[in-house]
Amino acid sequence: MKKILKGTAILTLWLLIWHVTAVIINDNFLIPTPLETLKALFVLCQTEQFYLAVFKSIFRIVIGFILGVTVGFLGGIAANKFSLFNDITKPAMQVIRAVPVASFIILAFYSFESNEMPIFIAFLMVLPMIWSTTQTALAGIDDKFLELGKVYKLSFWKIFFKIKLPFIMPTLLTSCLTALGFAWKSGIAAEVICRPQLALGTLLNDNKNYFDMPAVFAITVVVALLSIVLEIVLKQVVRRVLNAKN
Amino acid sequence: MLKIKNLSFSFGEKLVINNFSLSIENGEKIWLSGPSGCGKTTLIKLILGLLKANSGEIDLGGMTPSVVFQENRLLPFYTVMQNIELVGGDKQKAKEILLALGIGETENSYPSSLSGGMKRRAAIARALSVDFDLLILDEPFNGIDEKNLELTINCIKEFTQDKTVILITHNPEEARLFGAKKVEINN
Repeated sequence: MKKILKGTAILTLWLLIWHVTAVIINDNFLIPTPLETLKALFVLCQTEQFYLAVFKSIFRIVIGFILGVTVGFLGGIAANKFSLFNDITKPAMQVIRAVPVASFIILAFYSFESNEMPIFIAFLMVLPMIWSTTQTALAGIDDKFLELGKVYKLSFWKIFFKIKLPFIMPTLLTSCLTALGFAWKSGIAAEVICRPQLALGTLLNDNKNYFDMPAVFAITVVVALLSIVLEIVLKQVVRRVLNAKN
Repeated sequence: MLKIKNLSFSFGEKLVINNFSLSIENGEKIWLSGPSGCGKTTLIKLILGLLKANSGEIDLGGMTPSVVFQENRLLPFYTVMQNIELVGGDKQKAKEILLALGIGETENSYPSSLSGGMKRRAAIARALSVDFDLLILDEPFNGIDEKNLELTINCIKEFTQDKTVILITHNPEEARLFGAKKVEINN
């Protein structure tokens, strides 16, 4: 109860700061008040397009995230196991990390359909994070535990699934949480630039073009809230996986 | 019969084992003795195939090894019984051994909740619960209090009656209680 009250008080304080700032600036093109934003959100919520955009944005970015986690995980395992593979792929991972998201979007603009671009960008953001986490976590496992597997002649799969995987799981899942945040933000950015049909990013861009700043603010709030919701959902999954392990 | 012939091993430039030979009859119990750093642990790692010798031969004579390492090496995310089952230990036999070692109640406990001595005995239980012909014990009684020492030694003796055992310990009293024949290793 105390926690809820404290949370509500903090939220109210920030809304108040937002409201006062908007009133002082007194230009809803620059910064609309929370009430104007809420009204815009109410209008958006009455359209079917908005819900479809929310659903499709989540779908695209989650697909990119899952692909990134899968390829990153497998790549990290291979890079840990085969040094030549690591030597070959290392520069590619470094480039992916170093190049800004916007550059990738522009570079891949003509290679992908606008619908596919957010998937590709989310994938690219997640890939090197999960790749390096998997590789580093596997390398960090104490050899002493792996020697057990050798002495008792455990199969490759048993060593991997029963010894290695439980060791790297907490680090990997924490990395997934961070990666999801990156996937979400970069995926929405890709939607803003590529404007796929039915997407939150496209809605943001359209409303910016119509100079409807309360709607832009409202969509931004929705994007932020969805990011928090996705993180909470993944945290629950992580907690369940870790509890099941223990 | 376990046969080690002209075995040599070095870590880089440092020669750790120099032309070492040893034969151990099936069912024999030996105590590998020698000063710290003389290569006792290295020798057992070579026997277990965890290190590769520079020269010489090791023939286990078809024996299946089991080991209590110097460290417990209990996986932290598994219970004692899960640790035992992971390496192929028999559940029923493991229960018997845990009881004999005085830690019967720990089978569903995680290593983090056990005392040092209990962890050590759990590691011993794991090594004894698998099918083996050769048991290698590297400082197995470290951290076990006096009260439980004799109990632990007797339990190992009971479950290794017809097995070959290599014991490493700095404590001659432990070796005496165990009834192992002394083999000096000094390179």
